[in-house]
Amino acid sequence: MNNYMTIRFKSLPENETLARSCIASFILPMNPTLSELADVKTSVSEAVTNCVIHGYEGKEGTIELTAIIEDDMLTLKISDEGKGIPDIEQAKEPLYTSKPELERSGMGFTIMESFMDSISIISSPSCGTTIIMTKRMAAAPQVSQCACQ
Amino acid sequence: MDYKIQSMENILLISVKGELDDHAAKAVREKADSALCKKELKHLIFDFSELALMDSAGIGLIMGRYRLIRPRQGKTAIICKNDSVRKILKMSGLFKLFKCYSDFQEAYDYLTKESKEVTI
Ligand SMILES: Nc1ncnc2c1ncn2[C@@H]1O[C@H](COP(=O)(O)OP(=O)(O)O)[C@@H](O)[C@H]1O
Ligand SMILES: [Mg+2]
Repeated sequence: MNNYMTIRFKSLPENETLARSCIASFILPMNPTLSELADVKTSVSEAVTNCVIHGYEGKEGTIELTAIIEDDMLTLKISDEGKGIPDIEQAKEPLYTSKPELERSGMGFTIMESFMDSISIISSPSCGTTIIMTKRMAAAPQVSQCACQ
Repeated sequence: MDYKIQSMENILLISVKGELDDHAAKAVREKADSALCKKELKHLIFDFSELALMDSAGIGLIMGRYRLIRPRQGKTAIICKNDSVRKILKMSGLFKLFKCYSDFQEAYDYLTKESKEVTI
């Protein structure tokens, strides 16, 4: 199956819910498992929240979410035109946050990295931030992954 | 998202249903912190048994409240069944500080037993 969608919305915290429900409906035809669905929704939630809190810092702006389905492959692109990330390597470190006063945990990128197959971050202080993530969905029945616990 | 904050004896019970993101966490945080002004509250139970999704905002919510009760020699317990939520708690290292319990009774027993041990 091949499909794509793009939605653009205002950088309101309320729209974190909107982004999660849109992506959930969009990937439904891929027959995601409950855990794949949770992984994708959580990753979208992290990326969109980052645009609202860090990219625009509560100010008004536009967030764009693009999703592409090519067979069993999902590609997500989330972008803002906000302040950008000065040091991407530092931003990716687990527990690093530039806003500890807002009770951020600094786990956003770590969660996206572990819930999706790949993530790339394109950012510069003048042009905003774009996050591209991919995940292959195993529609076929899978061996249980509980053994690694 | 739907939430409830209840105090019982010296325990604050924070129950959250649905999806816990940054926006939802703000609302829960405000109510929980005003309840925690009562100094007799020393233990925390997060009831996440009906939580469908949690992102990293949940980590901030738990850690922030944990820091408030730690000077009161309080304990924290999390009721959690959702695999995805567990994965995030584990990844963030929270299981080094608290455990997950399968229901309220189990969490309550842990807190009350521990506090007795402390007073002996
Ligand atoms: N869209 C963005 N725009 C600007 N800065 C960002 C963006 N996304 C992430 N960052 C930076 O990367 C850091 C790490 O992000 P993350 O891992 O999600 O942790 P947290 O959101 O808890 O701070 C943030 O604290 C912020 O400095
Ligand atoms: Mg984040």
